[in-house]
Amino acid sequence: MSALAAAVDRARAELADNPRLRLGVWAIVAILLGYFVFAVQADRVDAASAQYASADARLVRGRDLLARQDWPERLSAARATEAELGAKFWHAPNEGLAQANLRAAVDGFTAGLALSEPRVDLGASRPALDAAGLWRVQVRIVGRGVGASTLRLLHRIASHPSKLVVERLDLTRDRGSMRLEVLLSAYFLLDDDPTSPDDREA
Amino acid sequence: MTDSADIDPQAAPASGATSRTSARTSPGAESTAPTAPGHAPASRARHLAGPLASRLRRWRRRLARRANAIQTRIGSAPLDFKSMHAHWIIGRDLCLYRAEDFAAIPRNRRDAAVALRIPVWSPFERTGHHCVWSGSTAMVWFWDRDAVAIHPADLGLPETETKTPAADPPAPTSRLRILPETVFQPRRGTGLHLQTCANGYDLQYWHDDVLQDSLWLPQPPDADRIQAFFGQATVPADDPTPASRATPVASPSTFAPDPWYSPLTPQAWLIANERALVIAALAFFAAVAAFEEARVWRYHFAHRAAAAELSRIDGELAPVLDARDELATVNRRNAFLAGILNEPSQAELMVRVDRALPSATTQFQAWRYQQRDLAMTLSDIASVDTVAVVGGLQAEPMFKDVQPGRARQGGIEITLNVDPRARRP
Repeated sequence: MSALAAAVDRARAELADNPRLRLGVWAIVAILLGYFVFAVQADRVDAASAQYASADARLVRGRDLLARQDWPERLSAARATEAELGAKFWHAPNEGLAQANLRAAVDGFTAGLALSEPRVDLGASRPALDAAGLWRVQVRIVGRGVGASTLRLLHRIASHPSKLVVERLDLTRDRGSMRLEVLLSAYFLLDDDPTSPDDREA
Repeated sequence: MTDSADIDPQAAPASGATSRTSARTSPGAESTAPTAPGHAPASRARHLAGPLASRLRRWRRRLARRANAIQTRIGSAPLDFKSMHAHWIIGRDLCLYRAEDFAAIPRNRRDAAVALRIPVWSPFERTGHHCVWSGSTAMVWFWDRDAVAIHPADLGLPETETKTPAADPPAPTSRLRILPETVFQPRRGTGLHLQTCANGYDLQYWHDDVLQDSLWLPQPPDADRIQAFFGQATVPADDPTPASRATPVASPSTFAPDPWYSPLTPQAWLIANERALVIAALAFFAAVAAFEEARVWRYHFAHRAAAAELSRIDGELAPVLDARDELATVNRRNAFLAGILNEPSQAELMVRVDRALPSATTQFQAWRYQQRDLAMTLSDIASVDTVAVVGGLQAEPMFKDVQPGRARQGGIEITLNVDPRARRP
């Protein structure tokens, strides 16, 4: 302890006698204080400011939400739109019946058309990721016919009351007839969709 | 540090110094009429800085609160003027004086040179001194440090606030400055002057703002004493002062609130103002830190208020948030469904292409559609006008990037991209 006191006394005496040393010590103190004030304190201010800005933004959003009193009306309008849009899609109780429905519809399209070598293949069916309960079922139609029968088929696809999306269509004139290959997607709203959140929870 | 707060003598001998006058404290003789003071021509910068310095001095005087006291051979006494710093003034009768030119010494080593010369000049064992520079000439007063006896009561201070310079450590407190009496009296230009002191008289010979020689006398000098004074002083040949033997009129004893100004080196200035600078810097940092801290706490309290308000409305907000989330989900689903329904049928595309083609006899040789990219091969009885076909298709808003493709047997290929969002009836 006495050695420490002696060292402190020596340091104090040296500081008192040596103005340059004192100047250096004050400069170091000033740098440390400047760092504390302009870096550490400024960072604290920034952090506090960001924290407050986040809370304030949430509060403003919350107040805006509370200020709007029409949420039930808007939700019912959206539900009505959903029902209206849903009416234009295919409906089936399950995936198997959806494929069967599509196959039956395609058979209906091709019936009565002068298509030679007709072939209908059901493709993959999978759920649409962006809409729960919506499944896409694909079917491929291949055949050969005259121009009028081909156009009639396309017209039947376009005018079907439930939406059919043509993913791919190849029409090629070949020796006086048309070679046809079409890939159709039908979007089904399944009543008991195994991928819907409610079903998964059950 | 010396007793003077204005200088910081350090190292380096004054080998190039040339002594001009000697220190004397004995009485003298005859008189000479004073000549008009000759001032050195002021530079433009000094001329501009003059009013500012004068204003600053006025402000310093307004802030002056420190007492001053003088010590002479007959004792010490408080003085009735205040200044920025407390001064213990050493009477002229206790000082020796010497002026010396240090032109040969580098400017930054002159203070150190003076400090090294003091022991040579001084007869005292421990010497205090004060130096004022006029150009390269040092005007130095020095005194017996052991003879200095500071009485705090004369300065209005409690006994514990000051120390006698004779005590160990020898330096006085930084709040007290020990200076000679002369530096509080008027400064002259050129000529012989007799200055009344607190005790006795100071016979002064000035030349070009430099106090060339100074002699303390207990009584006013007579002509013989003045003659003897000039006999020992170094007087320039062109100076007519010694020729006129008139005894100068004694100037009354007055004290200026501030001592003579002496130009300082930056280091000396820093040391002289160390305490004030440190206090100012600490105050600055403390003010900035306090300001920043106040901002932190202001944000902290504002955040707490916002959080409290949020938790207050949280109960009301929960059903609204549920409704909003559900609405967002339904809207996303509706947008997706509408996007599917918006996909154009091939029949519609064929009608639009047919309407856009310039010739009614153009036929489709092939039609390949995949993921909104359409490539079709067209043929005609006449030759197909590629420019007209591409132009016509580009006019249809729903078709983008219409380009002619490879030429095929029996027709040309056109490629385009279908954009259902740009559809017009």
